[in-house]
Amino acid sequence: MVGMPTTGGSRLYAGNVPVEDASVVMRLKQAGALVMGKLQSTEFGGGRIAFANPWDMSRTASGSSAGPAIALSAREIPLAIGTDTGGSIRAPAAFCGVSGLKPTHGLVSRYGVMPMSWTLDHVGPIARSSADIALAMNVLAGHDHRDAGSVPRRVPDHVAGIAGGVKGRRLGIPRAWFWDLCDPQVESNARASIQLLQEAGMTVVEVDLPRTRGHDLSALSWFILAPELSSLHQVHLSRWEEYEREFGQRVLEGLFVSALDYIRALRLRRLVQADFEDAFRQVDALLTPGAVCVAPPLTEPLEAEIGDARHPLLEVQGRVYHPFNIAGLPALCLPSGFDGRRLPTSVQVVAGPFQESLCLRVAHALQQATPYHLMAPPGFSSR
Amino acid sequence: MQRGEDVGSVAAGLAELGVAVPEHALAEAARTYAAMETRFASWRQVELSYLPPVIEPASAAASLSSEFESQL
Repeated sequence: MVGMPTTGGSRLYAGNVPVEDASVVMRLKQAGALVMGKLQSTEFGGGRIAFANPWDMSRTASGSSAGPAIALSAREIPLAIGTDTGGSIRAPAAFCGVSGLKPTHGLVSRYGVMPMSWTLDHVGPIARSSADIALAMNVLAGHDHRDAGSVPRRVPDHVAGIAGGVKGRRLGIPRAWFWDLCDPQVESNARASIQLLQEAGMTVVEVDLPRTRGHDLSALSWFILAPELSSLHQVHLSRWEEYEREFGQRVLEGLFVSALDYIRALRLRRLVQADFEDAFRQVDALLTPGAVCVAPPLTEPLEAEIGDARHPLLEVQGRVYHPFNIAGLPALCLPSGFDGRRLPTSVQVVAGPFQESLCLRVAHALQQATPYHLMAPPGFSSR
Repeated sequence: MQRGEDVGSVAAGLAELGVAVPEHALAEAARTYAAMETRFASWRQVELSYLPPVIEPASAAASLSSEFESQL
């Protein structure tokens, strides 16, 4: 944001004040939005994610778009903007009981946004409902000549038709990967959401992702992200000691990836996209868990509670998000209920490229049938 | 099969840039790489010869979207 200190959460940018707005900020201002400020994130969007969750302050809100999700959950603001390279909009939205959209790659300009990975970075809105996200997308979406990855494409009215219902539409449930490591309560609430969409008139179909079956999609994401991150930060390596510990390590990791493996990973994206292309010939939208677990306790290290088992959060969290960063597809996380401890659970609705309107329509159908997006954490009033 | 760099070669590469990073930090990064490389290993068995070259995100999205225009 022009005139406001913008440090990327890092000592490396101490004192940095931009001379112009990022494109998304400019568009919001032109549409009459009142930009209230900036919120807590992690160092360059990739550092330690230990932010208190309004639903239980002893648990994490995840990250990196933690501040936006927290402020929305706490009813302090109605709309926020986040970035998502491997779930950083969707994970905080899921843990904080709000809605977050990672749009199609190239639909929302990344100009003026500090990057992590030019292949996987996305910018998107976080709000308390799919209706509010649709409103935001009408402002944010559209070609920006200043972003080389921006797609020149007519942008539909995301608000029109959101309440058109989902009768006659087909909902795909991926058979594997997304459900292989999932807390039972999260899965149970996701299955309940599927049932609601069936009752709303959707036909539910299991879909397979055969080309990528049995392979580690998170590892594929890492072999793209790590070298791109290291490349972006090569200019800062002489000041490596000034990074915080977690992000400093991430900057080094990509240096070990060979050029051939990086190129291989980029070519393998086509397989991931092909699997989803085939899926969307059979169905209109996909539904997966919105997170592998509910918000974990603020322990060191953070651990995902999946049933009675514990897994390092950073090793498993991205499972449900990475495939859609790799494929560049629109993916929206929204609340699906609560577990026995009143911690939010979430589902993720995914559609074909530039089909944000369909994502939003499915999410809206769920939010018309459930009250979860209207509920505030204890001590925070609903409004 | 292709393998990545080791601590020695990464350190040497950094030295050429005039950058000094503590050896323990490089060792930790190497361990993370090794763990991810094990998880990535199965992807190396995937036949790539029939896949197109690296694609730009914008053109990829545009080519995919043409398949779904009729679904709007």
